[in-house]
Amino acid sequence: MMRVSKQRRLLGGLLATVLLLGIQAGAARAQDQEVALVKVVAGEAYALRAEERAALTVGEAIFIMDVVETVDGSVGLTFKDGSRISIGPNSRVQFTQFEFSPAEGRLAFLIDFFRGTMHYISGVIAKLSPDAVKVRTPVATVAVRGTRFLAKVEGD
Amino acid sequence: MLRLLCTFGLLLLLSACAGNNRFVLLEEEDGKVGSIVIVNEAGSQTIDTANQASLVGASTTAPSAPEPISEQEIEETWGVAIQANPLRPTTFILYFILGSDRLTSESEAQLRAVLDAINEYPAPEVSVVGHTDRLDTAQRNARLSLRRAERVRDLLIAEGLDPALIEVDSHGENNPLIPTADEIAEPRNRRVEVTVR
Repeated sequence: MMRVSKQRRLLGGLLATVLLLGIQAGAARAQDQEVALVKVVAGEAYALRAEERAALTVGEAIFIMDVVETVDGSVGLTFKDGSRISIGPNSRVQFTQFEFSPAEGRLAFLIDFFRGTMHYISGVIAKLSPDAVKVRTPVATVAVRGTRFLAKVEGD
Repeated sequence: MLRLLCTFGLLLLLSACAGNNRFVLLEEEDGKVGSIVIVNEAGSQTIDTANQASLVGASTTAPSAPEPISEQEIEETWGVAIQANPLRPTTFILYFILGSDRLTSESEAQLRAVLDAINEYPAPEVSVVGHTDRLDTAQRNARLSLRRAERVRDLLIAEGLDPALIEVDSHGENNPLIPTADEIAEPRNRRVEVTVR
């Protein structure tokens, strides 16, 4: 009797551990979600992630929640859905949400543009779901209906 | 008193400067013009004509009615950002012989062009996405479109493409080239799109 309950507890513990590991792996994947690649860099451009500020070079991956900023330079990114975003000098942008799973109908792209100059060309997300792409700035939010546009925002 | 006035004047000037936020709609590379809607707590404004700009002074002032903006002004403000725009992705559409995962001979001949295109791109990536029409269930179509995409991936690898650059996905019947009602057969939607970016 005693042995059975011990085994059960052991099994329960094991199950909990496996579950926990699974959840942790899931969380790690969400954080590590790659959304774009750096295609063009001129001058100084950086990615800010988890307390780190990494200088960007061509071929570098950009992950969800990364903040990308320039000092005197510019940087151009191509996203998984073919969207392209490039920013000019003294600009700061964050990729807050990026969901590109058309088979499951999950489509979303939320860009926080804090300051500077930006050139945006839409990709497949905007084509499939006209209300899925938003560019949020300190003064207004831009809803993007499958298109190409420029934004300039003066912020700190 | 003079000092106070100066401070006040400076503040006014600063707040006037801070109001120069602009949004400009441009024509797309294929000549199409979409639209953007600029919204804040004070109002909203739609731009649907290319080379028109809306100004937003602050989050508490409504976006201005769209006005034309000159090429020169665009160049002065956004020239550097536009210069950094990555090369436009290229999409190849490959078709299959009905009910099989064999490419048509025309499409098979395009595989070489895909490999050539890759050399044009810095840090290239290739996405291979399978699609179906809306005949049959969404679930079965998801599987079929994945099988076709995997077939194309294997052919590209056989042609010499680095497997690390390829990413395979399937959109099933949810991303048609030609929109149709459910259960409609449409050969042009039974395809694999290979995008080099």
